[in-house]
Amino acid sequence: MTSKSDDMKLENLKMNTLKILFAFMLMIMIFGCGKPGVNLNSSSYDPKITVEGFLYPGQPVSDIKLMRNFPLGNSISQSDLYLTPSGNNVNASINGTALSFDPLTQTYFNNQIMIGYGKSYTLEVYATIDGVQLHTTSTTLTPLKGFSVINKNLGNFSYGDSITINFQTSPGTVFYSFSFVPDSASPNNFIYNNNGERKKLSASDVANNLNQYKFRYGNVNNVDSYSSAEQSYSVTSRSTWFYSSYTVVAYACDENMKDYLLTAPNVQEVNGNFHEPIETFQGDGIGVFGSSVTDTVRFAIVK
Amino acid sequence: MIKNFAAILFAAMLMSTAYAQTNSSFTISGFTYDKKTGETLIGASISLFGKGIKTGAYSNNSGYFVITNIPPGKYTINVSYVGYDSYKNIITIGEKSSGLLKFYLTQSAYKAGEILVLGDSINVSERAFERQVSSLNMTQQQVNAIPKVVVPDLLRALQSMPGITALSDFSSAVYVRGGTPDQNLYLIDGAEIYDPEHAFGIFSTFNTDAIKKVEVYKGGFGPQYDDRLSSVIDVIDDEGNRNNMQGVFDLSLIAANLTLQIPLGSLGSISGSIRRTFIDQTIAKWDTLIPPYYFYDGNVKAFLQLGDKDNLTLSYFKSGDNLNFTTDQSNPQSPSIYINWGNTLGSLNWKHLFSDKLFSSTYLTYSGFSSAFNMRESASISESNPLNDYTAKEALTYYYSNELTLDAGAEYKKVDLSYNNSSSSGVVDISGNTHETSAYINAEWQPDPLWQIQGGFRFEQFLSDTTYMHLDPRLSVKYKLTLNSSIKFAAGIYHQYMTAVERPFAPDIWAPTDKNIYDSQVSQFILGYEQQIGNIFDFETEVYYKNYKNIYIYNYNVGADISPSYYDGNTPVYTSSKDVFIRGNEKAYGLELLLRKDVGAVTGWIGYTLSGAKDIFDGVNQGKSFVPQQERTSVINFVLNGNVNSIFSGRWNEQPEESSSSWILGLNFIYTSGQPITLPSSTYFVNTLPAWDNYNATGQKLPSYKLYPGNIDSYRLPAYIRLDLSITWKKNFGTWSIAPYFQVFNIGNRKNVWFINYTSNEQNGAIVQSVSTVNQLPFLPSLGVTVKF
Repeated sequence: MTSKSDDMKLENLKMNTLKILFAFMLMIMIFGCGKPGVNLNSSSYDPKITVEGFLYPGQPVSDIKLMRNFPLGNSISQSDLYLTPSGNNVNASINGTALSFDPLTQTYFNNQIMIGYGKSYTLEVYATIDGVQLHTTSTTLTPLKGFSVINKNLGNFSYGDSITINFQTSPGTVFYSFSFVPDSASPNNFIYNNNGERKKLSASDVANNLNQYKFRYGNVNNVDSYSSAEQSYSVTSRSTWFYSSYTVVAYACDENMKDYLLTAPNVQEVNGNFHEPIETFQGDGIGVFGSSVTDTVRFAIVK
Repeated sequence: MIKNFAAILFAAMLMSTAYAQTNSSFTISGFTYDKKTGETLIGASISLFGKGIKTGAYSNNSGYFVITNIPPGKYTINVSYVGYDSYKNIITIGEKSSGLLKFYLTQSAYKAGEILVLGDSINVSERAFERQVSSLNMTQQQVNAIPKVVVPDLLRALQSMPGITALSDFSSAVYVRGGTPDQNLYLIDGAEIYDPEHAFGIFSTFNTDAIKKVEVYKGGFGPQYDDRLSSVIDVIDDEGNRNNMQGVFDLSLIAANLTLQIPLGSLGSISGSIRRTFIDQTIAKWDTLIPPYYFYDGNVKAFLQLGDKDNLTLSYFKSGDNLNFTTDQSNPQSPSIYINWGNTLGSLNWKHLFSDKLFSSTYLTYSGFSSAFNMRESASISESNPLNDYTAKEALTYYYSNELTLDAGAEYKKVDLSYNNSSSSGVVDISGNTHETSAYINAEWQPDPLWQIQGGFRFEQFLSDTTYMHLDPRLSVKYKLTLNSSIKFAAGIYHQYMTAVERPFAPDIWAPTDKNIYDSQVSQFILGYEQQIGNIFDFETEVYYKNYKNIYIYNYNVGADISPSYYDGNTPVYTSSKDVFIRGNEKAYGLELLLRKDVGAVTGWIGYTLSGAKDIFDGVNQGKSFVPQQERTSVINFVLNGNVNSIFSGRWNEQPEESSSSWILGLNFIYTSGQPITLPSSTYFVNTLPAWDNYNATGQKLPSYKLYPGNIDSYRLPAYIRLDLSITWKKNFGTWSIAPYFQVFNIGNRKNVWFINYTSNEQNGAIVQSVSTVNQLPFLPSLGVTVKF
């Protein structure tokens, strides 16, 4: 038999238990609300020498761009972009021969270095960015002779027609890239029923993202480069977004260009995460220092 | 050295138990059943008292038990099981064999307990001591009681347990103690299921209404389980009511689900279930922008009693997902996508008693997984990935004495698999088959009531284009500190010969161990402590350490690394898995705390996990170690299920009163540390091709703008927090009941971050970068109804 005070104690215990339970539920409900802030501090930022350099057999060294990278969230002006000998203590050389700086184009060159086929060239750069002394090297092995497009003027096509670029390979070069740039690009000559786009685009969509549709490229990898047979590349509708004539620059790429083109633009995965590209620089460099043999093709998409 | 030690230990076991046996001792054995349905009861406790003897046993997965070394005389036998009235009687053990005993237990009379695990007469500490290290059991009722994302989901329910985490709201895949989903062994009635995912991973394929019992081993599992490094999720489906037809019909916002159990007289029973989504037949018919996607799964299981000593179980399971979508039906050239994948399982299980001490279970299983993918956009891609697993396995259990049980088994597994992909960039044609032969022995020895030792070995020989052989030791030791507390230890070496390419929003691709992909290995060490509090709460804590070797992640740069095996004309053909994966090692460690209440009107648990993991993969993160994406430093789980009247009256430990209707509350809260992700460390401008020398300030998105990744997984997203709630009203009408339910996923509508987006725009002649977040599932209410008959 329980006394009245025991009953009271039991009731109090129950009430206290319920109070604790509801306080706990209230607490987790409050915690379960809201919008957490994402604070991207730049602690992982490291200054890097950013290189955009391409060598072409039969031509002197020119248009080597040495730039810097920027922390996320920064505002970037063009004047901050390039590394200069005066501003950044740049010392650049290829195979030990110094490069000169052209202040007009903000690029490095040396007309005395004539690039050959199947030769190895090492770019070495010293520079100071944000007060930090940086150094990087990268080596490219230029392709052999042999690459050429068979038919350089393909004529006119309607949208949806099959367009094929046939070419002879450079022996040992397995990767070929094709740059498509229309001579005229605007919302007025845009191919709105292009099946490369899943959603219906408006003229303002096109205008706001014009460069995204204007500058296109395609690749073909692991070509049988020692075969004497012609190789081919089929132009997809993702490469041609305008009713226009097109200039297609075809590149027989070295391994550095291949690694850069296949991995640097694709570092973000479907789920938003990032992974590293294949890096062809030693030390503090990013970007590309590659070589290629080029040729040019033309065609037009007409209504 | 290990072999010598094992031999000495084994001899000691036999000697000690042989000493305990006498010529005049007897053995009793039999089965335990649910009186209402006739189904066997797994894990029932059978105790024998009298003549100064107190002994007992637990029924195995077939409901079978054996008690040996009983001197003749009169004894009290007590049979008990969670949620059932105990059976107690006097039996005489004498000269005449008692034959196979059959005990039929009646479910406790409390009617409101559909979602509750009712109190029983077995001491909680006894059950806790019997439980394997790092194991947990869940019943169909417990799985269904946890608030869900629209439909009940076994794997999502498991994500509420310590040590088991999810990567995001969009995935039901489970990551166990630092492992990845392909390191989990999923079994349905003994057959392995390779890709238990629906809807690109949002839901799992396990139909919870068909489940009889789920056993989960987060580590330290015995030598009878093979070929996976991290965990075992062993699902046993309902055999079916042997006395009366019964069924469950469940209707949610996206799917309908019917489960039936039909008796076959003295022959046995048959059960089956079918579930299908109906979005494609409803909303997708009216709104052409919604893809006509559907998934289904179903199973049929026949249990045939072929006599007292034989039974046969035939089980079949099939699941499928289908998406066939053309963006513009009027334009046959418009982009289209076709994805189809699914699992087909079949198993035949013959259980036989060679004698009352020798129990045999023979399996023949088939597991098929296939996926097909066709996409027509600007270019066409088609892909298929069939996998066929044929397995035969035999498991023998010999009840040598009450102190010593021996398990031995052998298994042969043949897997045929291929991956074919055809696109303008070439053809991938990887095919082959693997053969795995294995055998194991395991001894469970109880030298005195305070100790329980299990030890054994598993021998494996794996053949593909190369051969691997291993002898893996496994050990588990339990010691009772007091009547209500015990410590447990387990250690073992495990190997795995398959790895999967995990792909977001696409089926996984399995690849076997071969010359390019080495056999994966993990060494596990687990130390645990259990304490029962007031015979109501079960507190357990475990620390673990795992050392993985040769584990693999997908190589995202495979396109640049891979070389063709040969050319078919001008088309490169790839026939090797070389360069598809990156090899690495991992060290994972953690502390788990769990306070669980399985008895009474209100049940649930509170769990806390503190864990860490370090990966190091060849060439990744500049060769430095990094934290894997599945690591969550701290996790808090809180799950509560209960009868509302009982909650508000404070009668948590009592059974709710019998009533014709009741309200049932379910609550699920989870807090985890943020997910490690890789952020870009900086931006840079390099034209993709030299012809695009177009850096300018025209306000256009610049193709030269690029992001450069920082250190791998060095940034953590904000903490993930979510609270789910469900409320069910159940009305009983005698032989049938109806239970409409309402549930809310993420009731606080917390904007848990999924990933971060980066954009750049030109403003006043400069490029301005900005970030935005893409969030996980928002406040998501749903409702449905369950009818049981």
